[in-house]
Amino acid sequence: MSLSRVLVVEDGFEYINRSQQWMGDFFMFERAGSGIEALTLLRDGEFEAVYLDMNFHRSPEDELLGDLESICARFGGDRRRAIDFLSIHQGAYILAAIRGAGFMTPVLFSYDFESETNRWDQLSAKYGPVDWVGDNAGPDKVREALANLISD
Amino acid sequence: MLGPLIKAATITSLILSCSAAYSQDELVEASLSSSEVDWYRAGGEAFEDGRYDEAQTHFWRVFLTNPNHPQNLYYLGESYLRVGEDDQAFEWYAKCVHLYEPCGLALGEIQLNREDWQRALLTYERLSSERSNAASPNIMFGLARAQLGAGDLGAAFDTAGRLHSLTGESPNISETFIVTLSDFYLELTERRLDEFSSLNPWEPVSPSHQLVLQESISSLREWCGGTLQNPAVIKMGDLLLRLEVEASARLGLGGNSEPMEPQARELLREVESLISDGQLELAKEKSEMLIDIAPRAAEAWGVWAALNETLNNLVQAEAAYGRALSLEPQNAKWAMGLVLLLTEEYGGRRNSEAVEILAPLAIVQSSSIIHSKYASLLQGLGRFDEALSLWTEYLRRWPDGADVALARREVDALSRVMVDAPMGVGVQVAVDLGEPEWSYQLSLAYLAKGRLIEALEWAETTVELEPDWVAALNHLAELLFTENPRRALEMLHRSLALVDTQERVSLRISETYKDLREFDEALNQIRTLASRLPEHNLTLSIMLDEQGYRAEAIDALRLYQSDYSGPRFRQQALAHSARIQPFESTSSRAWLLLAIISSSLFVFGAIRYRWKRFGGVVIEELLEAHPRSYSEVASVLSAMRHEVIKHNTTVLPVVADSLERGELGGALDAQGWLLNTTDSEKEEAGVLALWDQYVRDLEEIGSRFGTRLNIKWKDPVLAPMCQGFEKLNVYARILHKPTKTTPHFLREINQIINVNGYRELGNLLRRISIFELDGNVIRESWARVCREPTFDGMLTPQITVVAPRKPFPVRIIKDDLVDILTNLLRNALGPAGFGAVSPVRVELVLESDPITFISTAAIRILDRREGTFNVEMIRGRSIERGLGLVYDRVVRAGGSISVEEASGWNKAVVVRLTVVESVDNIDVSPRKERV
Repeated sequence: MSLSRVLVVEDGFEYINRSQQWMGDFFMFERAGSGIEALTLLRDGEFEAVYLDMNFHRSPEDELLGDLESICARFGGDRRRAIDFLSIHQGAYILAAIRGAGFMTPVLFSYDFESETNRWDQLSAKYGPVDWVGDNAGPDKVREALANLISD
Repeated sequence: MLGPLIKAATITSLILSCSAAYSQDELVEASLSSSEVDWYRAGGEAFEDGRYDEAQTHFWRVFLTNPNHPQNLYYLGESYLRVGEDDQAFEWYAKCVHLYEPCGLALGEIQLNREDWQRALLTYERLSSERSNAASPNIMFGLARAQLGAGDLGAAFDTAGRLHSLTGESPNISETFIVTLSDFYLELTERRLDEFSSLNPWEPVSPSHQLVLQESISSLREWCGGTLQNPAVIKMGDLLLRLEVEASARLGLGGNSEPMEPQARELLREVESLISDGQLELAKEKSEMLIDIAPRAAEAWGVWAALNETLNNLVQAEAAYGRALSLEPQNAKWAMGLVLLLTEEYGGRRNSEAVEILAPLAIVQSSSIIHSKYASLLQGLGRFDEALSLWTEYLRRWPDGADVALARREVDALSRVMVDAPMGVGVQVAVDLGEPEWSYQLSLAYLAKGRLIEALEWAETTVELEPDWVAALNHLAELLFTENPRRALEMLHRSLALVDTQERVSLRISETYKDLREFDEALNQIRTLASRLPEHNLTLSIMLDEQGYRAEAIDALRLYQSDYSGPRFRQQALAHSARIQPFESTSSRAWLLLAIISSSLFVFGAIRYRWKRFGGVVIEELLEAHPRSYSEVASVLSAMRHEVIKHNTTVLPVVADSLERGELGGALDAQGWLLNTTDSEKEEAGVLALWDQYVRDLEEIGSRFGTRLNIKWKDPVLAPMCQGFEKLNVYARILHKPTKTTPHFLREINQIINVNGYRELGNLLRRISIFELDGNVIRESWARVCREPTFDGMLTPQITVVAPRKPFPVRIIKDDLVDILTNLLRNALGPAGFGAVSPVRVELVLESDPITFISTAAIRILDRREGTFNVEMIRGRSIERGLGLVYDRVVRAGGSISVEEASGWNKAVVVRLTVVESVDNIDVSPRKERV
């Protein structure tokens, strides 16, 4: 029986390493280091879920998705803060791009929306199917969440 | 030779005489006249009293007037028989043989006693044919004895077999008769087998011999499978054992599977559990390990075969079943596994191979499943005669078997097409067995039956016959280990001298020396083995460590690591390395020194304890007292969540799970990243050290604000987490040697850090520095500005504040917000000529980012003040007073400030602050339903 393919999108290697270590028997993981790379991989292969980090503070500026100029304007021309904003919320921009490209692959956010229920309601209504696991979710909870997403 | 037969005849006569005892019978007397009745009765009385001569006289008188009365003729014969005049008796019986069955039986008995076999045969055959319905045990027994006397062993065997079946169904057969029959049957079987006793047992058998063997085994199983117990049946059991063992030996079905060690058995259970849970890939990995540690255990190959079959790796499954079967040739499970694979996966193309596998087992095993499958396969291959024989036997032996309905149908169908009598079933026979091989196979066969004494005897015989046969020496050694380990060692040394590359033998020798407590010899053996197979440097290392030679053990381990690059014993090496190498550089003096230092520190620490435990402030107190410490504190707290908890301590539960499964890999990995500490960059520090560093960072922040933060003891959020990490620090150091309680404590620590601590940390971050922004703070700030001396004497400035009734919780310190509003409102005012000020409008609007859906509270300050004003000016801090402060405050709050166009106004200075979702949302409840 083949394993479900999951695309891990992160700016480092923590997710992919931990996932392969603890969930390698249940899913086949591949990694994308940016939104652009994620879109390319989604276009080229069949993935049953995407496991998406929110914060991409380690990514170089030119790999960040989002309208940098308008965000610059929002921050009063402060380019540094605009880039910070894009980095910190890059996961949302990547998700928007994934949906914008027509990929309806279920996405599991790694971000704690526990205290941002209104925000989550709006995100999930616009970008579903999505789900989230918080920072304190261990591999077992991530596995459960991925399995639920894939089976839904 | 015929002793038992004579005995049987005598007893049978007694039986017959009892069963035909004289009694008055109206039907019998009906054909007699009144005087004949008187004479007949007088003769009967005299017969009952044993006055046989007188009885003869009376019966004679009846005969004279009624010469054809059957019963009278019979009792005349009986009267002569009782006085020993057999010939006379015979004559009288002969006169009524066709008239009265007891006459026939009596006649037959005399013929048997006279060894007049042919006549006896005729008599009993006639008697048998005259009985059209119920069979008579007496007639059948007589017939069988006559057949035996006539030399027709096969017919006698069949008749006796039918009689045995009959006696099983009849409640009227006496125990004496059964005993007699048992003796007869045993002798009959032995006589049949004796016909072939002159042949060497290891030589190929003829088809007739095969048939006799198979029939004998089959019938003896029926006898021994019942509840009957008498000396003959017990002897039949011994005979059956001998036949089965010899059949096994002849067919090479001894097998030499080795029993599993406890570790291997535990692994086998684990594999079976994983298979039943559907974790097939993991089961496969474990199964490979099992074969590695127990390569001669049939069960290891069996489970590997079943697993590969499930994974549809048919070639591997077939090879594995074959291997299991070669180790345990009589194990029906492996045989059926292989047979089913061959028959079900190859569209019938390999059914003939399946038949060859089942054929010997059908002989040596009493299994209805094997029997049924074998018959089906033969039938499918067109071997109808054999199939019919097997189905018939199935019905006889397993009348309540699972396939009895099928057997009946097949017998019915095959009988209609059969013309010839069924022939014997083909048997695979080992060829070219010499006497030593025969002895060896017998030993294996006895061992398979659990008969250790016989197995040992034949093993000794084998070695006597062939002193240089390695397999025989090894086999004898295995049998000797328990009772005579020294002799076992002698055998193994002889074997190793013949073939010095036997890994298993070397290991066995070493283990035996260990059991005898001759450790030097045991080590020498392993050293020799390791010189040839470098992976056994690990075995040597483990043994040296067990004997207390730690340094040598480490050297040997290093040799394993340097000289061997293969996969054998990898997991074991990892665990062993973790066990012995941490202690490599520690001496007892270092421990003593450490103990002395620790004691001193403890004394000093006790003095300070009270001061540390109860003094200082907590984080919330620091932030209340020094709100401007918020951004730094929040930054560290956020890093604690993201860099210590996330990806790191969150794996503690799965590490606990893996330890409970006996897997050490995850725990060792966790130990690595938990304990890896340096004095330099944070990113190279172990996770535990990283946490400590962040705690120190917080304390340093407090120091810079002139406050001592008491995080480890007093802070309600971080103190429990610190204690959790201290516990984790302890358990991290023993993760390579977990105990049964380690998983429990890991889960406990997980609860402290990852559940409770994480939640409280999040709550702390959310509730600190939140201000409820509404129109009031704007108006208050406006009022403050208006009171400033700059605007003294001017007309009261006009301000319009548009704000929702419900406040927005925003992340900013109140003082900072007041500073921002005051400065911006001041700059929004300005002289509007002639001492007036321009109006100002402030709008408080909730905005939502269209992509991230982050909500922000936008404070839009609209004015008509003339002049150029842009955000660079605000950032540049170059105009008006305090505007530089505005930018810093906004940035510190994580917000943004911009200057935008506004219709009807000169500009809009917009401050955007992040909205925190209601404070009421701070977590105590379960998560909401998600998509």
